[in-house]
Amino acid sequence: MNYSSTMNGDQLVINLSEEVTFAHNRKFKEMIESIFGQESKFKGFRQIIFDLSKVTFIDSAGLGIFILVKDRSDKVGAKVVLRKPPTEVRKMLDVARFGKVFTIED
Amino acid sequence: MLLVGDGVPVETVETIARRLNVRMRTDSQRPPAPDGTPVVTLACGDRLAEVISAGAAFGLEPGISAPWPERLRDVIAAADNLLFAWCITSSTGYSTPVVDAMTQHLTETGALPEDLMWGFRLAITEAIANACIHGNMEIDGEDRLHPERFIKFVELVEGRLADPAYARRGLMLSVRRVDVGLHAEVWQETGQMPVPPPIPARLEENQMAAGRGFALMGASALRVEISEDRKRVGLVFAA
Repeated sequence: MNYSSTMNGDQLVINLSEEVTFAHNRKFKEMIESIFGQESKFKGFRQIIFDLSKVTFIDSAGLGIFILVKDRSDKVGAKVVLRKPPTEVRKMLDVARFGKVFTIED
Repeated sequence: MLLVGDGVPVETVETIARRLNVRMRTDSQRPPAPDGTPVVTLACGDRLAEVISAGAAFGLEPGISAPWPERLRDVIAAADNLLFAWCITSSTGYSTPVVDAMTQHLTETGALPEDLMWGFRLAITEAIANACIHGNMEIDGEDRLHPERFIKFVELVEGRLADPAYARRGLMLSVRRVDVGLHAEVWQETGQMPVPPPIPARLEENQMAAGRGFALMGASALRVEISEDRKRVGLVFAA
């Protein structure tokens, strides 16, 4: 898994790429700390947008990270958006009923 | 196809491949297993049992590369139409390169239609994740679901991966042809997988609910079977 983060006004955009699976727990941890940790350079965001267009594979652990980020974001009043999931990823989001709690932008 | 790794010298595998006239491939494109050994495959076709048996003549007993030799022998002895057999440690299973190799192999040999690759790979990845984390490494997934405790969960996983007492525990994966398609099984050597919610899991209200992995398995496979001792998951795929 690779990721990069940029602030665009009050939007924090996180570009995820390659595989996002349970084998990447350490990267998940780094990513969450980079967003919400005390040392985070990202402040004042109102939206976190995960760009999924370059994700090649994702499992339930990857989906769980979105839930964790949403839970933390709710506490600071920020919204989480899942943007451009590839077809197979979109199917998984639908199976897991993620449309009920996330904004999904195709 | 037989996958070997986890400390078996590559030269030994090369010797076997040459003598038995089976193709060996070193997956140099993929990272090595956590113990540093390369993941190599022997394309045995329908000669899997023969290759396993003959391996003993080269000092490679069935399972010498495996932490769970008796399970490997049982599976090979019992399964008709065996397409794939793989027995490795939890630490190697955790890095999942072999699931990818297996899926590609089954697709290349025509056993698995391309349009089923994603769902097949997903379901087996989920089963292996459960077997590694909740089974052999005996980690309760509860901490994974809470933002405040997620860091602790990751640290616990990494600690157990570095501890041979947990990391060397065996995982067994087999795939065989059945009437409706393919039957994959994942065994874990120790522990018990958590009792899953009804399959497919209902996530109407709470996307944090445990069992999301089982829901994805249920959505990808024709049938999900769990053994009474909760150490084996079977997945049937229509193919």
